[in-house]
Amino acid sequence: MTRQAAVAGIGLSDLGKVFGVSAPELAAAAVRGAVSDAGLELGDLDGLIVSHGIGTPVGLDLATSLGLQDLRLLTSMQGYGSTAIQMVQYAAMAIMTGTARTVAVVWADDPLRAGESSGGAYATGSAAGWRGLMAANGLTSVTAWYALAARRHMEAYGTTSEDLAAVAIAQREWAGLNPLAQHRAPLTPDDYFDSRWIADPLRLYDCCLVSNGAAALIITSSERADDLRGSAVDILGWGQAHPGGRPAMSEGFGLETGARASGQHALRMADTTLDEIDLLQIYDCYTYTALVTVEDYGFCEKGEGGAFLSEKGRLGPGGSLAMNTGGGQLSSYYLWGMTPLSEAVLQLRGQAGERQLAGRKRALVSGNGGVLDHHATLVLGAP
Amino acid sequence: MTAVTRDRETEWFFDGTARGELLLLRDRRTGEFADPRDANRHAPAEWEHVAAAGSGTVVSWSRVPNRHEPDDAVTVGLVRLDEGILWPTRLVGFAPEESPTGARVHLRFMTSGESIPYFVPA
Repeated sequence: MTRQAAVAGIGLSDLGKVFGVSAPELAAAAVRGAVSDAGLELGDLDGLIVSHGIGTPVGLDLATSLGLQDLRLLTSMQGYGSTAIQMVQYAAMAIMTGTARTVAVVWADDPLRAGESSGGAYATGSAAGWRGLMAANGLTSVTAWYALAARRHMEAYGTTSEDLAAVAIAQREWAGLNPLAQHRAPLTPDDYFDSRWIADPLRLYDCCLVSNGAAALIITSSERADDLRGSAVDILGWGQAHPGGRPAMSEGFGLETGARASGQHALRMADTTLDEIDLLQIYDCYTYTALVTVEDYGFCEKGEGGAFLSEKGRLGPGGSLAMNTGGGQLSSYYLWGMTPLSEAVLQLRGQAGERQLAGRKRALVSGNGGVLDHHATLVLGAP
Repeated sequence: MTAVTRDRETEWFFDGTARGELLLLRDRRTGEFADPRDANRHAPAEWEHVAAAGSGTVVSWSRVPNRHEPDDAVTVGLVRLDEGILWPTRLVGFAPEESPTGARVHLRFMTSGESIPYFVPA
C-alpha cells in the first residue's frame, strides 16, 4: 500500500467543433495519444476507466476497439463534473494496492452537431414528470439553477457582475496564449456587458463553452513513471464531497459548497497547505462556480470571492493567483473535469508553451458536478 | 411553455395540482415536511401527502429569456414555503426592475399539460 501513483502521460483529441467523429473515436485517439506520450504501447495497459458526457456513450467496448487484452481493471464511472478527478483517484488506488500497474483514464463527449447551437445541446428536452415540471417552471437548463445560486451569492455578499466579468476577462487573456483554446480573441468589459442574458445574472460570457473532444491520462506508479519519460506528475492527495439532501434546496444553496470539505480532505492527504499551492485549476462551468470554489477552498474569506478575484493584478497572465491558466472551461475547451485537470498536468510538466509558468510545484484541481452537488479535489506535484 | 406529462412517480403530485393543491410529503412519525421529489427517503407507508398552505418567501430568482424570443423572459425563483421546504417555481407579477428576493408570495395554478403550481406577490 506504499506505492505513490503518478500521471505519466496525457493525450488530447482534436477539441471543440470537431464533427464527424464520435465520442468513442475521440476517446480512442486520446488514449493512444496518452500511451504514446508516456513512452508506452497500448499493450502495456492493464487497466482502463472510461467516462463520457451527454453525447454518444463511451462504454467498456472501448477496450475491445483499442485491442486491449487481459486487463485487470475495466470500468465506467460517472460523477458528472467530478468524474475526471474520481477516475484519477480510483486509478491511483488501483496502483497503490497493486490491483493494476498501468491504467488509462479517459473522458469523451460529442454533444455538438454541425449546424446546431451550442446552447441547445444542453437544454432540457423532457416534458415528463419532475423534469417536465421544472422545465415548465422555466428551469429549462442547468444554467438557470446556477443563476439562482449566483443570485443568492450576489444578494447575500454583495458580489457584482463586475466581479464575474473579471474572471471571464482574465481567463480569456490566458486562452489567448493557448493554441488549444476555442476562444482566443480578447474579451473586453464592453463585450462582456453587451453579451446576452442566458439566465440573469449570468450572461453569455459567464457560461462555459460546449465542446466535442476527449482527454486521457496514464496513471502508474511514480517509480515506474520515472523510468519512462521522467516527467510524471505525482498524485499527492484527493477528496470528494457529496453533501446530499438536495443541495439546491438547502439553506446554504449558492453560498457555500462541498468544495470546502473535498478541498480540506485533499490538502490533508497531500500534507499540503494553501500557501504551498502555486497553481490553481478550478472547475469553471460558470464564472460564479470558480468564485465560490476559491472561497470554499479558503483562498479568501467566505463572501469575499468577488472582491478577491476582481482585485487588480490577481488573475490573468502575470497575476498573483495562477488560476485557470489555459483559459478554463469559459474560453479554452469544455471537457468537464478534464479541462482543469489537463491544464494542471501540462503546466506541471512544463508543456504549456507560451503560457508556461516557471517553477510551479503544487497544483490544486477542482471538479464540480450537477448543480454544486458533487465535488472532487486533487493535489498534484511537479516532477 | 413546456406541456408537462405525468409519469408513474408524479401521478399523485399531479392529482393534487389538478385539485388545486401543492402536495408535500410529511413524515407520519415526526411531522417533518419533505420535498415531494424526495419520496424515497422513507417507505411509502411512512409518508402522508399534505397540501402546502400556499404561501412562502422568495429566496432567489433569475430572469430566463426565451431563446427564440429574447424579450419574452420567464422569472424563476426559489421560494421558502411556510412549511420550510425550498421550492423551485415560476414567479409571475414582479416588475422586471425589482428584485423579488424577500417578497411574500402566494400559490396559483396554470395549465400546461398538467396543472402547474406557480407563485405571485402576496
